Amino acid sequence: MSCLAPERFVDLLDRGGLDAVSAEEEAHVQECETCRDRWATIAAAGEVLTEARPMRVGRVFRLVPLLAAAAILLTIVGIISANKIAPPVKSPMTDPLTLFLQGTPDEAKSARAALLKAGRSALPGLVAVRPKWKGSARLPELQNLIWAIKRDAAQDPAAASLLDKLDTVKIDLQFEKTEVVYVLAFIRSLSGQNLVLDPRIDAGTVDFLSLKDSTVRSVLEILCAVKELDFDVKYGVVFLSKPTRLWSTDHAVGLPAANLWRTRNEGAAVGDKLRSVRLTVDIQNSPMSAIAGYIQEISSVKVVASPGIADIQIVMKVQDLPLDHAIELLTLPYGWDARIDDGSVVLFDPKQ
Amino acid sequence: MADETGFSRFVDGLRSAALKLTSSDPEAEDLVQDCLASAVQGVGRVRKIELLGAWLHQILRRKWYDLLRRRALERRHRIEGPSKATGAEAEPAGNELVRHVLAGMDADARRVLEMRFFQSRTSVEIARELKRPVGTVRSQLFHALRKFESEFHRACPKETV
Repeated sequence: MSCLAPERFVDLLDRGGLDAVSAEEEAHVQECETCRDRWATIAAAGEVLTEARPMRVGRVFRLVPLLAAAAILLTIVGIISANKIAPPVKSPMTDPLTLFLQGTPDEAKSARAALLKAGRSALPGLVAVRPKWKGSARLPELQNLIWAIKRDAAQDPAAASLLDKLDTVKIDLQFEKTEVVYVLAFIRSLSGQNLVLDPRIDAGTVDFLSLKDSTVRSVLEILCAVKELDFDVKYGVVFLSKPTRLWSTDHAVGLPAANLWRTRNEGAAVGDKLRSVRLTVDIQNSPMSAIAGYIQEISSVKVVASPGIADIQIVMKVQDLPLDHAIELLTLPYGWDARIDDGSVVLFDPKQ
Repeated sequence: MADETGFSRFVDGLRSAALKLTSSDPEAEDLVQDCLASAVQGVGRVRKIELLGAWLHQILRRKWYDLLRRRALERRHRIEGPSKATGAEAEPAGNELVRHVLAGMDADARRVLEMRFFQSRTSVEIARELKRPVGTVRSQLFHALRKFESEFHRACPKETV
């Protein structure tokens, strides 16, 4: 094959890096010095730019009292000298994220409102700057804004209620060198909430985590900040994943909102049935075909796992979750989907 | 170290790339050593072993940026004295340099870079917002990143005594 097009390198960056190359591209990049060099150039520049995101208040805020005094003085002079109201001076357009983090208190306030209005699309940027604010007095403001956006975006009462519970249930925990999945299992058992880690993410371990009388929300916020993850209500559960997977509206990067049958309004009767049956399972490495069989047994809806995914082993633990959401969890994070054909739910891999 | 990890077959290529970047044998050697030391720590993250070479070159490039930053900081240290460029100031000063370089770029390139890397938007999302074709935005980003690299290099000149 010929060299990768410049646009493809940027596409790979969007998709999380070199892991997204196709087999053919992989073979080419292995051999081609030019492509290796191009990749190195843009990936390294991207890393350097990402690290230089707005991060601290610094000198701008140190000048705030002086600027405020100057503004008052100018206002007084203006009132005295002018008989008519001067036309408003338009300030240059500035990115609200930068203004929220580095602007004056007034700018930060209006930027906060703009970010709230932007909704979930503002979350990846906000979450990405969070590690740099560790230990800063502004971190709680940042966390509160992230939370407020999530809470505002949760229009569905069930989703709002899930988030509200995170903010009310309090727990104690202490872990040392423990895998994140076990920490989550512990929180799940104490809080009784469905917390699901994206199966495509290897969250690794936490070195030390000790919290007393903390809300589940703050525990998750700390855990996610440490592991560069985040959480939101997705597929009827509190779902933890990488921020871009949670919130990107780019279909190649973000997780889909719902299964194909729902977006295409297929099989209304089957859909109603799936919504009415609730599932409690602790699946540890069971093949998809067996899970499809179990769902069929409890719902009386025919469920078929297509050959490409039937033998793949699945891990999932949920309690009292409507089947429609359970099927989303079983398919969408893996890149699979579900459609309804002649009254049967078909779990399939869209790439095949 | 390189033999145990399977890096040895890439060392010559890394050395030659490092020499192109630094134009100095000792600096190139340091850069390769830095790169391999980082790579050893992070090798577990490489899922596709066939892409090890590209990954190593990415680390090498990254280490080169660190070298350029150090140069700039040392220069500042010499000009402004030690108190201005030590300890906690070092990292922000590095970021200040990135922002300075970014500020010197043309407005359109700067805008797409800020949207992509400060606001964590993908090229598809940027294209949607700017009402431009995705291919155009990706091409702009690619060229803006290359331009950023060359401007960064220019902003950190090597000083000879």
